[in-house]
Amino acid sequence: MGIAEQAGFSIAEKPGTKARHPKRMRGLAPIFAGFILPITLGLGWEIAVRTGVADGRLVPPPSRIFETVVELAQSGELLLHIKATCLRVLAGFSGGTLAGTLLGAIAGYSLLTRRLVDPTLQALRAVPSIAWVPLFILWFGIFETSKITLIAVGVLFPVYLGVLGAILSVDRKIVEVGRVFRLSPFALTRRVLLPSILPAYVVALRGGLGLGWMFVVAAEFMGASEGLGYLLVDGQQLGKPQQIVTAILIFAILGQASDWLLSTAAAPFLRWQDSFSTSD
Amino acid sequence: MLEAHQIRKTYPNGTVALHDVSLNVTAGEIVVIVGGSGCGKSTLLRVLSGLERPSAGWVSVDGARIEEPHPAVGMIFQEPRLMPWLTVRQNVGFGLSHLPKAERLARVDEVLARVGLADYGRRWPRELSGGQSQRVSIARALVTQPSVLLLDEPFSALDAFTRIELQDHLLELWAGSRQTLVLVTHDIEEAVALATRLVVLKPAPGRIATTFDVQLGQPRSRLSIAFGDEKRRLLAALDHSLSEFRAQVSG
Repeated sequence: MGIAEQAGFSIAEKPGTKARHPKRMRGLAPIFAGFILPITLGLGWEIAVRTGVADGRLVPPPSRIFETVVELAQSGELLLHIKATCLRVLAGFSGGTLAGTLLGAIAGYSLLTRRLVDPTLQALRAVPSIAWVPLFILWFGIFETSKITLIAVGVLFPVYLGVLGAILSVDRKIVEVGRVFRLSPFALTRRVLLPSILPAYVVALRGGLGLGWMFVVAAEFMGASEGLGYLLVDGQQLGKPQQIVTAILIFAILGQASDWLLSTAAAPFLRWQDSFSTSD
Repeated sequence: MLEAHQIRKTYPNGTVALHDVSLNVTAGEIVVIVGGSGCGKSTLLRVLSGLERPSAGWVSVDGARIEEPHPAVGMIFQEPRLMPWLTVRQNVGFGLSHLPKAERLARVDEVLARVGLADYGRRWPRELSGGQSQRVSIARALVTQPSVLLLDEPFSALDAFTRIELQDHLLELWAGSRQTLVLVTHDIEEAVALATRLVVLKPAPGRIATTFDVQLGQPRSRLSIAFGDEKRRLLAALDHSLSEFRAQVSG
């Protein structure tokens, strides 16, 4: 399974690309179609629990989940947990992106650095990142530093690989056009290299962000007093499945929303690539 | 005037791509370099452009040595090589970033009109046909007003009709500005249609086999007997240069 798939999106889908729908499902219809299955299942379960066909103790019906959301929101707890998790993801993602971009750029530019650094990074990449947890706890303690480091490590590799791969696959022929017009190394970077690696970079960032959300859960499992991962552990220990499902739903929403935010922010720069929606 | 003096190019693996190639091109000439594959014609053009350094010999344009790309020398490649993230207008203005915006836009629009793409300025490269893309790449090279324009098999990737159309278009542009053109091709008809002088290369190592002036005025009718005569003359020269090579290989 590739990083992109682990992170929950298809790599073939370019940011800002509109999917082609079959002719019978135009406009908003396909969006509604996606709601049919979950709503039917939810309603069915709700009815089953209310009529006593099932007891709903381990699998709470939607109304119980909704109650839990409202309770947690009213006590202000929900916001606290969301905020804690989001801040961790943000800090880890920023750190991992920064390190991954720098390392990828340096390794991409210089053959010597690539030969020196790439084998080590590839070897480290093969380590499942969760395996670092005990070491990070020893090194950084059980508080924020170890959590953010773990997320950053998870984000670092896809970003590093994305940047390195993008730089190595820059079209030599287009770089030559830059040479014909005597661009300085700085101008060549800004006007040719950066625009041509941007699409792959955005894909790498989205993959990294997806992994960031994965690792924040692992990080919060290793002992946290707040955060959505804490809600999960707490729900398990106190036997509150509705709290677990609530946290899972919020993860889904936050993951989708942050991915949407990222691809929307990048879309104006990738307009030239958007081949489906504008072609005639 | 473009001058190449005893150009040699030996690649690190020992392949001798060019051996003592000398060429003088006077201003306003259209020199077409013809030869089979592997005779170093593209290498020669890359040396003339300054993209590659010769192992020995030198190139100069109007007295200035060409050791790396030079503003007096423009280059058009086989592929359009447009930046997909820039609009047609931005692509054409790519080499003009040192100019103030108003002047840049004026020059870009003027040259776009000359290549017949005045209405295409806002398009993305992916929205253009192959012929249109190559016109944009010609416009991008023309807009900096180089005195020498080098063309590396510029029309070989196009279909036959578009190719003829663009050859005629190139001649129209040349009639207006009288830039020096050096064009590499393996298309005999293209060579005879465009050249004022033909340079035939022979392979292994790449050398000049023969050069001759084309005895035709412009415009040229591709159907005329004289055109056919020139084509046969060129074919004969090419055949001669290659048969020598074949004899060498088999002997």
